[in-house]
Amino acid sequence: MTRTTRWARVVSVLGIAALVSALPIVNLGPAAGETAPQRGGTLTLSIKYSPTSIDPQKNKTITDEQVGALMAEPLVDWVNGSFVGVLAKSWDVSADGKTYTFSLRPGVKFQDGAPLTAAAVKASFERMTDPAAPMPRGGNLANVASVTAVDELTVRVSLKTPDPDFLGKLLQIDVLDPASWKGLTPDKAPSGTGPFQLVSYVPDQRVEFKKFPGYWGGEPYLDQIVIQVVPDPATQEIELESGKIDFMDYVPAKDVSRLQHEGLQKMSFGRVNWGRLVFNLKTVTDLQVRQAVCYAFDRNAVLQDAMYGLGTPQLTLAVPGTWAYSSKITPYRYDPARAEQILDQAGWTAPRPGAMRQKDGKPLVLNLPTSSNGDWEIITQMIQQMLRNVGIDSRITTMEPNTFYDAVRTGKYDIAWFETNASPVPPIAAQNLDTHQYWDVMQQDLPQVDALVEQASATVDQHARAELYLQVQTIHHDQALECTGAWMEQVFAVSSKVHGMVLDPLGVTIFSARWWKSQ
Amino acid sequence: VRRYLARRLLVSFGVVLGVVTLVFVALRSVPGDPVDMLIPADASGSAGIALAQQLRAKYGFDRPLYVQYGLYLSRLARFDLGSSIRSERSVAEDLLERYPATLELAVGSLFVAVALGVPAGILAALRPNSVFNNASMTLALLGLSLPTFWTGLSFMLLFSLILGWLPASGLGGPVWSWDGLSHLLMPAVTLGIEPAGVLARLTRSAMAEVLRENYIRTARAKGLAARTITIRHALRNALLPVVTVLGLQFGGLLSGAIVVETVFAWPGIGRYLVFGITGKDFPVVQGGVLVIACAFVLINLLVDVLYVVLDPRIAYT
Repeated sequence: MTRTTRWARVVSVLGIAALVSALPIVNLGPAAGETAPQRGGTLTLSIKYSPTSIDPQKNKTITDEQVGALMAEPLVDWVNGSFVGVLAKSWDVSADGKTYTFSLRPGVKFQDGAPLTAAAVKASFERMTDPAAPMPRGGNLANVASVTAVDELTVRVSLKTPDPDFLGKLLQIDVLDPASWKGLTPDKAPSGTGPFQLVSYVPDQRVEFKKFPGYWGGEPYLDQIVIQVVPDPATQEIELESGKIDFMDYVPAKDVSRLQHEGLQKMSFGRVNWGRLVFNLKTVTDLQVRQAVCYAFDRNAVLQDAMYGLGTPQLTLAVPGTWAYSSKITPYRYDPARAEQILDQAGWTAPRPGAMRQKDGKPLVLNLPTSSNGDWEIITQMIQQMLRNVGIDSRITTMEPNTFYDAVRTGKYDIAWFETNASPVPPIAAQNLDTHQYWDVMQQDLPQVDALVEQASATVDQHARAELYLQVQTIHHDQALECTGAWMEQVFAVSSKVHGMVLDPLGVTIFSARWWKSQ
Repeated sequence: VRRYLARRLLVSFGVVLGVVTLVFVALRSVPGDPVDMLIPADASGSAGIALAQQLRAKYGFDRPLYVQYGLYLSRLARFDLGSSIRSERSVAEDLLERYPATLELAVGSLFVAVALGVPAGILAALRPNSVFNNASMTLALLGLSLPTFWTGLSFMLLFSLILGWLPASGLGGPVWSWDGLSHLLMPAVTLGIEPAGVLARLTRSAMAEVLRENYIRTARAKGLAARTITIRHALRNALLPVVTVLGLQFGGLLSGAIVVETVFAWPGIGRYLVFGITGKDFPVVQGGVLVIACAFVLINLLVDVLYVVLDPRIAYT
């Protein structure tokens, strides 16, 4: 399993806003011509991993999400840097940030003919968080105290604590017709409001859809959408170039420019996948060692040589240009001389020039595990060399991905390259610093950081919130809790015949009713 | 013979039970946690931890190993393979859905291997120092050494992208239709090349040995036609080791061809198993390995029975 799937299941935490957004297709192939949309035709999408479930509310991976987005819709989505209403026509947030009231779009029908009602929204939310059988994404609604159907088309959601980012957590919560999910077999999907209806689902092979003529946003342009599961990227590329498919997901970084030369469109989403160097604070206790590592780490080299320039350096937790960003933080920049100086001062010295450092006879050697997928291994090898350049020895252990995640989660490591996905809000990657979570990798309670993160995520006033996040960032920097790395860009390739595709910040292709193909 | 078969079946049962137990223990002693894959990376504090506990309880991972093993065996005795942790689908149904694809590919590539390998071996043995011998043995060596992902992608480039003759990936219709056959062709050839190389070299050496035997010289002295000697007298005897190897190769093919299935997006059990392994999806791995073990045991039994047909001197008691 590669990085994309593992992290693909992610959702809303780390925040990253303005720079993310749904980036429009950059057409670098031959001009497709700005003609009026054409109706009809079949669009063939190729994805690497079979969806794990065809039920849009059981989504675990971004692929599940992408398949589900054809059939079902959330209340809101995030496009071009802001929230847009999908099934919600409008919404209202109470001053204390604890009550969200959604006005539903009138005249919306589920694919089975039932009307969209406030009761259906309530039932959908409750199904996601059913204590007897919680959905993987049900945690997004953990803060919900109650859902009330105020009238036919008004839903009120009350939260336990204020949450200014609550809308961001709804991106993966699809609304389904409650009458349609009872007694379903795994190859059938419950009824959503989306532009396409499921025709057939064969795991590991294909999923077929036909258009839903009664779609509230107008009849979809395409007649059919076929999704093929093709695990090997090289095969996907051959099929794309031979015109057998119209779209492939997660193009390997090394192939992006070649495909663009072949005239294919590049569709990318960036700054949601976030890579960094993490420390096990229980074993790497010496602050100066952590600081030295951050100075020795050349993020630009990783970005250029291992990621083929697809991404941008990440200097601080917050996204530059957003309210959460502060120029008061001076980031660690690549400075090996500084790293050596810090180590010398801390008493970690090399017995002779070129040898690895030690202190009181104890060698400076770090356990550096990595996951056996191509990119992570290369990046980790680069890191090993960077550390060696300043006299820090390290031992790489390559593990199968699942074993690696578990090793990091349970603290069987000293330092590791680690990647996480993010949500567009808030625009700062701070949520993962919470040490009371399943995926806490730091292995040490940081009560002050936990309290600040918790307080910040429940603060409605943006100014006060930015102030709290500045405190978090200051600790993060001063204690060198991690070394920030890069916001990584993910690329999908699309045939030049395809128009109107939109990517949301999580990498889900949305608004399929407006996709069309020139004949 | 009946007693022999009964004994063999009993031993086979032991083998399968051993494999199942080994896999059960191995899966659980390898580091990693199956519920990791189900907890979103951003699951906030209590939500993620609670979900993990709930899932562990649901699948019984929080119980002692021997209890888990006992429950597993008792379900197995009722032919219940459980359901996938990731997809929640029944493993038995998943396997039933994928096995025909694996079988199709295995038979297809075995056909390719026999059709290419055996005649090449025979001809090479008949003309030991000819150009044909050298060429076919070089090709056989090449077939043995080329990695399948490379040959697969090369075929794909040529026949799908450049010539546009064959579909690059996926499973087509039934194999007797052009759609089905055209989808099968490239993966079957790609997968069949390696065993074809093995068979060619093996057939050649076995044939060469048999051709030096006295009874062949006698047959020649009697004035029998060369074709009769080759096929009736030499080939039949030379085939014994070939059949043994063929059986083993077929068993291997039946366990799914991970690389070819991945390159050609062939929905067989090899890929299913790999997804299961990387995702620590215990029921999927256990079910998949069980089926493969049964296939292997069965094929080996068949090969032994086939010996009797090929060589009347062998008799099982």
